[in-house]
Amino acid sequence: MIQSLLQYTLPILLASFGGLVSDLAGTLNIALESLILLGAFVTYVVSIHAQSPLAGIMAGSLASGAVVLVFYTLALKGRANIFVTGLGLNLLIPGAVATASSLMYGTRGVLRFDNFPLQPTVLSVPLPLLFSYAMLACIWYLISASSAGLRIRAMGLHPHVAQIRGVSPFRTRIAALVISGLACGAAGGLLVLSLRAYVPNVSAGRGWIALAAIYLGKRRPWGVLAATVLFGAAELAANIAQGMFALPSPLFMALPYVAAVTALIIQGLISHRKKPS
Amino acid sequence: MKFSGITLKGRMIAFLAMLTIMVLAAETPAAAGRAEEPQQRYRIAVFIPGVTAGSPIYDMLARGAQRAADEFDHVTANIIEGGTNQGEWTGKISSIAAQGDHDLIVTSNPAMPEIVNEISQRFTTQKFIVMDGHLEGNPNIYTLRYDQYQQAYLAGYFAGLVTASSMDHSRSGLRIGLIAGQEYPDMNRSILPGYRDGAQDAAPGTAVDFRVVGNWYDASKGKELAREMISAGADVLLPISGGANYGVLEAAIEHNAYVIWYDTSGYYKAPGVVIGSTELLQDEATYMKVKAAVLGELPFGSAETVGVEEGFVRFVSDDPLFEAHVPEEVRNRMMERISQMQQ
Amino acid sequence: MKGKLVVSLLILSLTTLLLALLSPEPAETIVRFFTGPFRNIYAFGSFLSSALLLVIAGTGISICFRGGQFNLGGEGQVYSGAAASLTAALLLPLMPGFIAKPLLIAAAMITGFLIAALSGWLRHRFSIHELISSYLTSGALVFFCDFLISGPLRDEESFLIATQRIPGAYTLAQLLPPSPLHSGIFIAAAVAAASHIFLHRSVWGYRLRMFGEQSTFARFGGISPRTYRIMPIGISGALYGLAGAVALLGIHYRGIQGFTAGLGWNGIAVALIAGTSPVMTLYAALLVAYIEIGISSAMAGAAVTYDLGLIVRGAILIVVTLKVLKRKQEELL
Repeated sequence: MIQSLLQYTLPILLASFGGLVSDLAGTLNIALESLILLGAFVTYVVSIHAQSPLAGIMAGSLASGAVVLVFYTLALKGRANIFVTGLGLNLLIPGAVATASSLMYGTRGVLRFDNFPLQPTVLSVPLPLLFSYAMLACIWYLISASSAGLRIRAMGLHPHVAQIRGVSPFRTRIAALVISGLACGAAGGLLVLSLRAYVPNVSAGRGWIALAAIYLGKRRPWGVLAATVLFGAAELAANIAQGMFALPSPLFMALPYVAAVTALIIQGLISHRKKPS
Repeated sequence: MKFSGITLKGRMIAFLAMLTIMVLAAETPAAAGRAEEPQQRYRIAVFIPGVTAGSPIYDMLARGAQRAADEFDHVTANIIEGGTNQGEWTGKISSIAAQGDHDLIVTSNPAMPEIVNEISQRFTTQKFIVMDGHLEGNPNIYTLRYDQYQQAYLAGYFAGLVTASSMDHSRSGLRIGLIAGQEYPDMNRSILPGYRDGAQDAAPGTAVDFRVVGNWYDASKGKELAREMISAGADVLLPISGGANYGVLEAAIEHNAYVIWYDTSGYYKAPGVVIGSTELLQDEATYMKVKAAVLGELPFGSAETVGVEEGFVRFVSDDPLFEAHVPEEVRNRMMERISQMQQ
Repeated sequence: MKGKLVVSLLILSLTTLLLALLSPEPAETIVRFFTGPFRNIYAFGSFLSSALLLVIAGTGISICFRGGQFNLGGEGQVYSGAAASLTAALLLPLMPGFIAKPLLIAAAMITGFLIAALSGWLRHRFSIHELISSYLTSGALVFFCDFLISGPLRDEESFLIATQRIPGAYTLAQLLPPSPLHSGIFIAAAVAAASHIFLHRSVWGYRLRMFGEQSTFARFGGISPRTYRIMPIGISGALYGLAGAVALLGIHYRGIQGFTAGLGWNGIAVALIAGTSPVMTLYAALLVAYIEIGISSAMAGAAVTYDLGLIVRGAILIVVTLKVLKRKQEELL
């Protein structure tokens, strides 16, 4: 049970933390969904070729970071709308990944090779897992205790003041965005390493759930952690309930979204009662 | 503001004029080109309602039609992937029919007959072959249906035998699982009942745990659901959920359960875990029917249903991995049931 | 205008380049791309019929943008609008067409409005960003509509996951058979005209634009923040709902699971290309529809068609708001 919860929660938590950093800098990255997918694909390909899952997940993480670096540099320098760029990436990346897959392996479908460098046992991914936990810890430290984190927050809250204080808007923001890319890439890596296969569309909405968790967690690390665990529990409950009740399945599918919206509203209600405006 | 409005209007008119010219320009060479072509040219469009990658049924459709086309010099087959959105299929097939340069459109899916029948009212000379579907009486449409109940029955019968057996990973309690990508008519009407009935006949009292992923790609969710089913006591799983099958497979490998593969032989995907396979010989059937159509021998307007007796639906029992991992007693009872069905 | 031309040319040349790179026969593919919508009557009719839906959806989003808001829930709003219309058509007693059609369209628009307005209200009341809440409600609603079509409204005879057909009297007139072009084109024209008048000739439109540009300043001017947090996104929801109803009454005549998918995202692309002017949505909708039809005509038979469509759509969104491509007064987003 706890293992299932962890398996569902960890990738979303990583993506969510990444998104949180970008949001604190005032430039929310809404392309989490597709960056997870990209990370998943690259992790799988590199794991096979380098015969090392650790190299795979690092490459997946770097790939998503690099894509973010290129496209968001273009967006920030060209003063484009950052949301729209994110939407664009969400369409572009799945198309590009499928094209790359069909050029490299002659299929845009499932990739599953016998020489995958991981044994199919439950605790067989310690190094990549360690890498993910390390990344989580770093982001947590960055947000809540480092001076770099302060600069990022300042840029999000009062960009003009921060700028006068000598913080470069471009560098701060692109750094925050790249961190979100790195985290999403690793999240995707975790998904394929647990499956030992790359399946198209494997991110399956997790990036969007991660975005919701940022707001549900009131943009604080503890809150985000609690929110992702809540979503994980909702998903798990839906999976278990399917075996017990004969409710129509589409209604179960809607459950995590309904939970997210309801939680957002409840959280809004509570925080507004505390300090009436 | 007003000035820019006028120029805008001007531009719109120019744009429309350009469109008209392009319509004329595009229509003429196409018409001229067709007249010069040799008459005997026979063109086939294979419409895949989905994607071939990862879908054995559609992959076999494409291969079967291609093989038939390759046997004739004057026949070409053009494979067109239509995507998984049902709402777009009518429009996409219509636009192929509207081009008017394909003698035959081949497709496959239980939902296709009604779509094709509707299109056939608008494009009255277009011929269609629909595999895995059923419709009688439209003189331009030939259909061939597989008995999905029988295929699921075979899978269910085998699953029942395994869950009742003393095989290594078969646990106490008669409980098996079916994981679907989505709920769809064939699933609810034929596959699930067939699977249930098969299991009942093999081991009376077997419970079927049926769960749905919600899409055909979320492999992580497939894995989660499978794990949940295994911990609820199911020891044999039948995944019919596209890419999510691979998540189910992974859960079975990790938690020592068995998997039955559907529509195509899957033993090699995980020897010792995939211990049974049912298959449709869709490539063979498509090849035969397309070839007959090219030769002018296919009875358009009629509908056929084929199953175990005709040999187009079968349990794959001749794979060495099947013999290596399934005890003789279970194999014998399975073969016994199959030979009863073949009569 | 010059900016639009640059963007259009950039998009078209990018598409051409991608087609040339991915096609085994580049020359033929490119010719097929450019002549795609004009190869026959059917293709031309489908081109116009997908453009008219994009005009409706895009106009709504562009009003939403003018009000300084962002609606990511298009997919759910279109689908819900269509589902509301469908439910009314199948469950209400049979009516003459001239009563039924306005009723069905109103049902769709009200549904779309309410869903989207909820996000605007959440933004106003609880400061929950409408970007997130609209996407999440849409995510849940897509599944709910799937449930309606696959459950209570389902046609048990059909092998499609679909409902029964709506009565023949409720459908929009065919204009160019056998193509799917229908009289919804007049609805689209009316929407474009009405939105222009609304934005530039009415006091509400003026306030909406003002609120969109400077909400604090507008508040000092006595503009109610609640109304103008709800109105722009609500209008976009209503027009998304309308697009859903038109797709139902004009093209499909029945609910099929997922039958309006893609319209929500494409509506955003149209509004972004169009920028600030509703008149330009006509142009942008034609451009987007042209590219969609062109790609599927060019790559018929190649496995990369759908991926290519995605890449092009994504690239459009990425380049379209770059300020370097635009003149100053067009800077809104």
